[in-house]
Amino acid sequence: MSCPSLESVAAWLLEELPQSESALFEEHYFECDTCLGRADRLERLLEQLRSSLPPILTSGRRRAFGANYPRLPAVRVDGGQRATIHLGPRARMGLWLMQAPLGQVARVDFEARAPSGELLFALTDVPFDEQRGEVVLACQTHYRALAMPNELHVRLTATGPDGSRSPLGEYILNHEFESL
Amino acid sequence: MNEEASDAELARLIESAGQGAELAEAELYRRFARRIELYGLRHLGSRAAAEDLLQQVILSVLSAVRDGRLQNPESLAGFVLGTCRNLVSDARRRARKQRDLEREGPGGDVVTLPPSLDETDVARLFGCMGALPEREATVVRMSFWEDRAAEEIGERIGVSTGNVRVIRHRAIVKLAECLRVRESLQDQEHL
Repeated sequence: MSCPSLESVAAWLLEELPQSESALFEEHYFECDTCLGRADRLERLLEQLRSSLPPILTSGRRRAFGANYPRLPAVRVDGGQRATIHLGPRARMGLWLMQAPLGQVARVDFEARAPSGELLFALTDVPFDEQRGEVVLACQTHYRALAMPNELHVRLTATGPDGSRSPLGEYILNHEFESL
Repeated sequence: MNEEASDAELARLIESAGQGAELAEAELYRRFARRIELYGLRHLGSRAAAEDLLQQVILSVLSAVRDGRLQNPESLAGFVLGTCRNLVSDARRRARKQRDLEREGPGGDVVTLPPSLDETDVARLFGCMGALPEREATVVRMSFWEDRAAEEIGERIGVSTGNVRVIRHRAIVKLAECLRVRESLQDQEHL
């Protein structure tokens, strides 16, 4: 057997390679240094993905956060409002709890802009907590390396069960960093 | 110990228990440890279980080779794989039994690991995520950050479950390539 594609190695690591192909690949992998190197590199990436802080948190991850970091700063902000979060050596991560009427919402889209209006990033169909009426945006001091402005203008847009779109709110999120 | 030594030479040296056997055992560990660990992660799904598997496989293989139970020294790699398969099968049986026992007890919330606070290079990862085509980035985000199954992602983005997996594999490869390029660029800047 020659070395399979990187995509196949990724599929093997994710348990998504058909069983017969998986068995064949494993026989090859135990003798092939190239495939070991590829599997190693891809596994490290998967681990990095799984352990990194997502931008928008699901309810489950938010609960886990609360349990693991009970003193984590969490700032509640309503639509049309501006708020500030303080990050630094004692609080390297924080949560923005953006309040919105999410009762009859099928999908929420997220958009972050610089104060100048420049689009920084947009995410479609993000997790939201219907019961709490919240979309939870995580932030961390590491994000400073992304060269983004300290002030983010976030816009949430809802799509209803009938497909109609409507704005949920705009939030001005200001990040103040104590020296690290 | 020469790293170029064949598997068969390693096995013969270990079995001889003579001069060089100890170094051959160390070389066998070096050659197979990460392979076994990744195999364990793939089949058992946790780092702790993969580390246990690594220890058990190495002990079992070394014991078999020392005792002359490896019939064909040329097939050392196959023997290691076979040992991995047997031990994974045992570990899964034990896990099933444990789950059955736990099911009889009180249920609990799904445990989600907290994110790492290490200085992992967030900028590089996010930069590479941003460079992915939107659909691929969405599949990666929903898979790894929102814990959604391929079926649900497929429904949300309007493609089949099989396609979600193909998109995910492709995206992971692109991310790995992008990270490697950025790492090497950063290394050059530090030179």
